[in-house]
Amino acid sequence: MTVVAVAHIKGGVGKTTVAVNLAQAAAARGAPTLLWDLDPQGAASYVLRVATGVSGGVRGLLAGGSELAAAIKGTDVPRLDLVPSDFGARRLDDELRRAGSGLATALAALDAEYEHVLLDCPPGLSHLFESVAAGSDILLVPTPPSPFSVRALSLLMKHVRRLPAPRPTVVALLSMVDRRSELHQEFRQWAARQRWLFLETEVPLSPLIERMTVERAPVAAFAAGSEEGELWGGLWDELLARSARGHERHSGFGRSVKGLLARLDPLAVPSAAAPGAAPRSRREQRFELPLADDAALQAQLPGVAGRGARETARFEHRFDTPGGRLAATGHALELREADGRFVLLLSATRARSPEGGAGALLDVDELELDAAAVREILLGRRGPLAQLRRRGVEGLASELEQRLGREDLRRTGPLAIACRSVGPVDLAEPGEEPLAVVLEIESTRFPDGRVGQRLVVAVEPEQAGRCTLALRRLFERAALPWPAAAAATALQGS
Amino acid sequence: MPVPSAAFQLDGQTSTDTLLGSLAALLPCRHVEGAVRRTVLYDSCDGRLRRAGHLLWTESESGRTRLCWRVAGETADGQAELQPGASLDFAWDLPEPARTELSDAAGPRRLLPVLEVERDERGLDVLDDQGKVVARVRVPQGRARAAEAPEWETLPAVLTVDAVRGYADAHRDVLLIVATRPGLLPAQGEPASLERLSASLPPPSKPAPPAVRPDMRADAGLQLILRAQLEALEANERGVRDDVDTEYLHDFRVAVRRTRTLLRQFRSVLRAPLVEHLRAEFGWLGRASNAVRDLDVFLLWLREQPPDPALAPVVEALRGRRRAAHELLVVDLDSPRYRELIEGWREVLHGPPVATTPEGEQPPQRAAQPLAQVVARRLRRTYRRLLDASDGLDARSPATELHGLRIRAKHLRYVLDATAPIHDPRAHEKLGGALRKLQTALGECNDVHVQRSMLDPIAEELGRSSDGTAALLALGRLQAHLEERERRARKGLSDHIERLSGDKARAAVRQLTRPRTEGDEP
Repeated sequence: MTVVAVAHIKGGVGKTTVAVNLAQAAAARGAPTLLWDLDPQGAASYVLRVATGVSGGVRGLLAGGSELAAAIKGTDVPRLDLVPSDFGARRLDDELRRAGSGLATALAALDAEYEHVLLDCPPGLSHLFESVAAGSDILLVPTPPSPFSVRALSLLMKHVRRLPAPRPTVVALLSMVDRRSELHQEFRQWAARQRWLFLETEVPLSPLIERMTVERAPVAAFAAGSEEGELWGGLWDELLARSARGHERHSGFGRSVKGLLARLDPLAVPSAAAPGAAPRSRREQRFELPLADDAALQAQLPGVAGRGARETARFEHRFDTPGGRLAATGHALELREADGRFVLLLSATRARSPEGGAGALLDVDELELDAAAVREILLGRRGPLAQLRRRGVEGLASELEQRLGREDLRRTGPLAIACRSVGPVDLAEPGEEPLAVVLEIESTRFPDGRVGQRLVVAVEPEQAGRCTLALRRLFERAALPWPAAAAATALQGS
Repeated sequence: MPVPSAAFQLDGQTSTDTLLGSLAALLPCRHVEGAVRRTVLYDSCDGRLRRAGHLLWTESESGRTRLCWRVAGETADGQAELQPGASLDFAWDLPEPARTELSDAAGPRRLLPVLEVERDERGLDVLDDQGKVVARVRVPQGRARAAEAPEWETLPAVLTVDAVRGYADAHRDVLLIVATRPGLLPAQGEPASLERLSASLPPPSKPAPPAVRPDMRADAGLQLILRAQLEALEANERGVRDDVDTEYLHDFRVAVRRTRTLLRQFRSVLRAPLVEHLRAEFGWLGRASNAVRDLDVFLLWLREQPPDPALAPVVEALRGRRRAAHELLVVDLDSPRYRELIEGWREVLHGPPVATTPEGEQPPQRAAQPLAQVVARRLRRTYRRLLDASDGLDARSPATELHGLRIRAKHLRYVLDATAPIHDPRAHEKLGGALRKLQTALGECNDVHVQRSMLDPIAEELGRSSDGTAALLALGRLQAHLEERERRARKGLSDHIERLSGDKARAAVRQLTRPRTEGDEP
C-alpha cells in the first residue's frame, strides 16, 4: 500500500483539490483507493458529497478497528472510498499524543483493503503533521508560485529532515500556476532547476478546477476530456515513478529559496561577495617627493598633462601602534577606499636610496576586501591583520605580526586624497632607452585641515637609478627643490 | 518614543556625492532622493511671535502643507494638516490649539512670511540582510532667504543619522562608520534648524527715539521730536493703504494725534501761522480715519466674544461699513491735500529750525529756551489741566465730561511720551502707568459710546428686513452687553482719577519738571 499525504504548513495552497483529484486518478487506474479527510473543515468530504462526522469520533479511528471500518464511506467515484472529516479532528493532535502510535495503527489496518491511501491534511506543523510524515511514503506538497508558499516549503523541508527515520519522500508540486504571470514564470523556472523536488506536472490556476467546489466532484467527473480533467492521471503516474526512485538527498535548498526570494525582492541586499580575490605581491621602487608647486612640475610635461590625466579621490585609513612601531621599522598598513573598492595595502621598506637620492625599495602586498570586511575593520570587530589571516595571507602579514608582538593596531585618519595621475610619461632624454612612468600628484587633506602635496612614482626596482636621475632633471627644470634627504619612506611617508 | 538622531556638520571640503558614495559602498543601502520640502516661517511685521519666544511655520511637501508651531518653553511641536487655500492671515485664522496658544502674542497683527527655507533631502536608507531599513542617513541641501530678500543663501550642509525604532545596534554601527568619513564634525544640534535661522534674522526695524538733549534749544528739539512722528506716520502709511492689519492705522493715527497735540502744546516754540495751518490739516487727517478705526475696534472686540450666529448680519453690516470707510480713507490719502500736507511738513522738519521766522515776524516766545524747561512747563500745565478736568467726575458722570477728561489725559500722555528721551525713566513710567489705567477705562467708555451709536442704524435696517428678527434679538443682547461693559469700565474710574492725583503721581510730575542743573542726565 502506498500512502500519500497531501500536506503543507500553509493553508490555501490547493491541498484538497490535489488530494481529491489524485485519489480519483488513482482509482481510475483501477486501484482501490481510500481518501482520508483529516481536515476538520471537511472540504474533501464536501466535494465528494459525503456527510461529515464520524460515529464515535476520531479517537476510535486511530485504533484502526471496527470503528474505522464503519467510518469508511463509498464515494460516487468507482473504487474510491472516503474516511470523512469529523469536527473532532481539531483535537486530533491531542488524540495522537494520547494514542502514542500516531496514524500507524490505523493505516496498517487499511493495508489489506486498499492499494493507495491519500491523506488530506490540515495546514500546520503540528503533532498530526509529524504522525502523517511518519506514516507516509510520499509527502506531496502543493506549492503555489508565491514567496510565502516557497518559504513555507523551505521550512517544511527543514522540519522533515529533523524528523526521526523513516521519513517520507518529499515531493513538491507547483499548484495554482498562472502561466501568463511573469512572476509565476520566475517560480516555474526556479522549480525546473529543482527537479529532484518538484514534479514536472503543474496544476494550473483554472476556472474549471475552481468549479470543482460547486460541481462537488473531481474535475475528471464533470470535465472529462479537458486539459484540467486529464492532468491528474499523468500527475499520479509521475508521482508513483518518483516514489519508486526513492529519496534523493540534496543540500542547499534553503539557500536556493533565499536566493530566489532575494532575486525577486527589489530591496534585497546582495549578499556580501565571498572573500575570493587573492592577494597580489610586488616589489617596487617608490619615490614620494614633497611638492611645493605642482603647476611648475606639470609645465615641464608639455602635451602630456592634458592627455591621459586622470583625477581620482580616495579615503585612506592608516594603521599603526600608538608608539608608531610599524613606521619605525619601515612597515606600513593602510586601507584605501576609492570608487567603491576597498584595498588593504601592506608594505615593507627593504632598502633606502643612498644619501642624496630619493626613494625606497618596497615589498608590497595588496588585497581587495569586500564591504563587509571593511565594516568589520572600521567597527573594530576584526582588525586588518585578522582579515588577512582569515584569507590565508602570509608573507608580509606574518612579518607585521612579528613586529607588533602584543601591541594593538590603531586606525588613524581618514585622509582625503585627491590624486591626479599623469602619463605614462617618457622621462628619458633623447637617445636614451625609453623610461615610461606614471606620475601621481597627490593632494592629501589631513584631519587637522592641512593640505600636503607630493609626487608619487613607482617603477620596477631595476629602473631605480635611471628614474632617480630623470626625476631629478624634471625637478631642476621645474625649479623645484630636490628633496636631498630623501622623503624616501614607506607608504605613510607623508 | 523619540527616535535618536545624530548630526554631523560637513566641513565643505568633501563633496556630498563623495561622502554618500563612500557610505553607499560600505553599507547595504539604497539611495533616497526626497522631494523638495518648503518651510515658511511666519510672524507679524513687528516680530511679536518671535519676541514672545514662539515659532509658527508651514511645511510643504508633495502638494501637502502642514502648519507647525512651537510655544515658548515647549520642546514638542504642534502640528495640523492645512487644507489647500486655508488662510493664515491672522492668529484667529489658525486651527486650534494653535489659535489659543498664539493669539495673545500675535494680537490683531497680520502674519507675514518672514523666512523661506527650501530643503532637498538626499541620502541613504541603510538596510539589513532582510532589505529592511535600519537607519536613515540624510544630507539635506538647503537654502534660505529672509522675506523680500532677493538672493537665496545656501545653508550649512549637515549629515544626520536617524535611528529606526528597534534597531539601536544598527544605528550605533552606522554612526561609527559615518564617523570614519573625513570632513565631518559632530554638530551640536541642527546648525540650520528653524530656531537658529529665525534667531539669525535681523530684528524688525524699530524707529530710534529722537536724539534730543534737555539743554538743546526747544525749537531744535521739537523739530527732532516731530520728525520722529512724521517718520512713524510714513512708516505705517503703506500698511494703512493696503489694509494689512488694524495696527497700521492705529499707529498712523497715534502719530497724527501726537503731532497735533505737540503743535498745540508747544505753540510757544513754533511760528503761530504754521501751527494754525498744521493743526487744521492734521485735525482733518485724524477725522478722515476715525470711522475706520472705530469700526476696527468694534469688530476686534466682537471677534473676542463667544460666537453668536444670529449676529452674523450685524457683523457683516459692520464689515461693509468698514470697507466703505477704508475706501474713503484711501481716497483721502491719495488726495493732493494729503500729499501737500506731508511733503510740506517734511520740508519744514528737514529745513531750518521750525521756529525760524520770516523777516518782520515776531519770533516765537520760547523757541530759544532749553528744551527741558519748555517741556517741564508743558507737563506741569497739562497735568494741572487734567486734574482740573477730573475734579468732581466719577462713575456716574455724563459721557461728554468723561470725553473731555480723556482729551486732557491724551494731551499729557502725548507730551510725556514724545519727550521721553529727556525724562527720568522711573518717573516717566510712574506717571505713564497711572495715566494708562485712566486712559484705558476712559477709552473703554468712549468705545462703548461710539459702538452703541453704530448699532442704531443697523437696527433700523434689520427692522426693515423680513428675516431680521433673530438678528434684532441678538442686537438687543449685544446692546445689553455693551451697557454692562461700560458699567464695568466706569466702576474703576474714581480709583484711577484718585491715583493720578495722588502723592506718587504728583512726586513723579515734580521729578519730571524739576529744574535741571548742568550735567543732569535723564
